[in-house]
Amino acid sequence: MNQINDKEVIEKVLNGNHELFGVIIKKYEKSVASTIKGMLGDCPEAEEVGQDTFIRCFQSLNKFRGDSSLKTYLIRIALNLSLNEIKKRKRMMNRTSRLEDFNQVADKVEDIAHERNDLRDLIHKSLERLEPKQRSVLVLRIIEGYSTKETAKILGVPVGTVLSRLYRAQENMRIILGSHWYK
Amino acid sequence: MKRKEVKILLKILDSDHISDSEFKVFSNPEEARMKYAELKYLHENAGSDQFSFSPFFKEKVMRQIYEISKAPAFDEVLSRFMNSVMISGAITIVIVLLLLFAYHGQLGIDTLTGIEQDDTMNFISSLFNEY
Repeated sequence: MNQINDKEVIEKVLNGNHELFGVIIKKYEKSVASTIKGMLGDCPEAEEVGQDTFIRCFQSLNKFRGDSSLKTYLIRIALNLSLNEIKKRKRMMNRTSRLEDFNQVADKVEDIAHERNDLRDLIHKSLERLEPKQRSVLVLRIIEGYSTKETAKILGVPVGTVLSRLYRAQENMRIILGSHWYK
Repeated sequence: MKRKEVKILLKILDSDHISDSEFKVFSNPEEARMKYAELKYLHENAGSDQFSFSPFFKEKVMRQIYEISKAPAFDEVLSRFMNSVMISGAITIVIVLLLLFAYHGQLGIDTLTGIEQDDTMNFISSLFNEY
């Protein structure tokens, strides 16, 4: 049902009714936000990546063939842009010698989360310490709730790879979260 | 835990009601139950519906989309520019031809190149008679 509605909206947008793209933004804003914030953390760049995601989707709407749902299409764009942002951050950190070591920053952030005792914050800050490949699997499969097959499709990897990355991500989360991990 | 078992574990993660019997298919049911509880814990505590962007996010994106759709694409600008150059060029050529025809009453090569017929003949004969 959703897909039919999305198709109708896409057709109308492609026929010049650009205002209708707002319906798509409203419908998928939360999913895109949680994917990007899961990948990048709750930072100002997340909002920029979010805006970029919808703009890229709008610009490439004529290329959308409908093989997957529009949501999957959007999440794929969001994920790729988030991975680009992570690479950009890494490059910036390598260039700027005055910057503190990433792990030190992450530790500080985690300390703040520990102080606030906010479990959701703590989990999301911990996600930032996972390597991007493991992080994207955990965000899509566990946080976003995509099926393993859908996760594999979005990431363009075999199902087996999703499973092994997820397994490693879960083990790493156990180590990072330490005493806050499920007992 | 085997890969196949992880796959089953992820499958049952999507179900609402899990009975203890479902864990019996695993070689180590206790470990499976623990893994399942951990995944559920992550899912419940970092669920997707709790995130959104700042207020007026939609309006911000729509403003950018409006600007993008208002601004013509580069190839469109280029083709418009080329069209105007072609049209004005063609008009200029027609006007020049008409003026030449009006002054000289003909449109031969001599008229177009601006060389008098006598000058052309003199030039050619000078080439042969020089030596």
